Amino acid sequence: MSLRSLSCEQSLLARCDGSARFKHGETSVVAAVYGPGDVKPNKEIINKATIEVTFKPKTGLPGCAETALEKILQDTCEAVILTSLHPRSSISIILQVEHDDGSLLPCCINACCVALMDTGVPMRGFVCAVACAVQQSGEEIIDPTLEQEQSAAAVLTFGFSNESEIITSHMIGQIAQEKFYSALSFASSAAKTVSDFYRSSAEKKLSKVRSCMSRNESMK
Amino acid sequence: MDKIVGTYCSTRKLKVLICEGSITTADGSALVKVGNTTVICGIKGEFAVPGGDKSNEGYIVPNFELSPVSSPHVRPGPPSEEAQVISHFLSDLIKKSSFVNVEDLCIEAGKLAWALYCDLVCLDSDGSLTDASVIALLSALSSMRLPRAQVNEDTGLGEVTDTRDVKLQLNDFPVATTFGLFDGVYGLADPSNEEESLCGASFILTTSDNGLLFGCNKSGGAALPSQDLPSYMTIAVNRAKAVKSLIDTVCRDSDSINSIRSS
Repeated sequence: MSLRSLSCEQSLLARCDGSARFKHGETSVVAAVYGPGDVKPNKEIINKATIEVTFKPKTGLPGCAETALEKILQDTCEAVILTSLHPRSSISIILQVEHDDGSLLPCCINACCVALMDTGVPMRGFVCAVACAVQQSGEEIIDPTLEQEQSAAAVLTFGFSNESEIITSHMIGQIAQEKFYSALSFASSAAKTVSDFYRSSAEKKLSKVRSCMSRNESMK
Repeated sequence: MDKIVGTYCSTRKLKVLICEGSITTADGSALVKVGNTTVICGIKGEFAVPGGDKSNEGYIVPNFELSPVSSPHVRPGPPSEEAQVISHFLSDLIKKSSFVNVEDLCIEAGKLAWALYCDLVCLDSDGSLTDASVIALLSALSSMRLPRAQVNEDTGLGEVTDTRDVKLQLNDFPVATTFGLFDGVYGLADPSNEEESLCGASFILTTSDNGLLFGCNKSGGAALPSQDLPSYMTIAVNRAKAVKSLIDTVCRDSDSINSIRSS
């Protein structure tokens, strides 16, 4: 069982400090990062950066569900960003859903990480997120589509650190405990694919920069 | 009449108190104290028209609020982020798991159904708010008694009888247990406010007494070693068993008192 095709585009927006579009199959999320920058005095933390996340759904007004998602993303990003290097500053992350075809939360987490990397915010590692849907029949599906999620008994999302430890986890539905552990192990191995993808996109971006620099050198 | 039963639950000997029937004007209510954290839940049933594609389903709408009386950090005004997160957690628990059947709330398919508005207010915030909210919601749903309702053929409107004997059947009792993770190694069940602020991370396991898992929610913070999960699950399941037997005892006692009264 494998993930759908992953794709990512970096530095696509001109005004922000960093941005990324991350796609899991048809699910597409754009993340923009502004920061480190000014922070409102009531949100200022004297020894750390303030991470603010704004999540914009594709349609409708933001409600409780969007606030809950923002909290998960904020806590996840705070776990990997070296916030003590930018005290009394803010790092704002804005996410816009372009299309939701399942696995929205992992796509958002991955988009955040790549956008932060594009911005150059100092981080201690990445969070590689992956979703696993457990069907009524007991079958586990990695990176489910919207249809598979809606018919599933439970949908589990895990965000793993570089050392394959659980940073973030989210679950809806109900399953037996044994199913949880098997879903966790499938998600853990699928997260390595996401981790390799981060590495290859970073290498692609840097190789472009390197070839630009060598062209400039040869023109002198 | 109020019925109070206290017990000691296995997680670090925190006293759990459930008091059902606290709000006499509500169709169902419960006041729950987990340690110092106090949450009261009141349920009002109102008539609603079932939606288009779900014509045989009623609605259960939870709403959690943090009252300014609960903590110096809570200001009056629209629900804070913390309150919205808990409201969403309860809403997901109701909609996405099958511990309660919303089809039971349908009076007449396509025409009339019950909409249960569950309002939870935190009166004392001392950590583990999700745990207390879930127990309050479960107790209030178990103790809820709705009148019999039907659609009047002539007017097309709903009407109720005076008796209150319609109960909502709960298939499972999912109980949330919050654990704080100190130094990434030491797990602390039912952390108080002070303990939560000192822990690097926290996660919530929602389990029922028969071992089913309803939720494993962790939001950032220090990493959770996955080899420790089975022991946390055992603590959570034992907690769920104790809470279920407590709710059953309180329901049974309040039922017997009501039947003595009416006879």
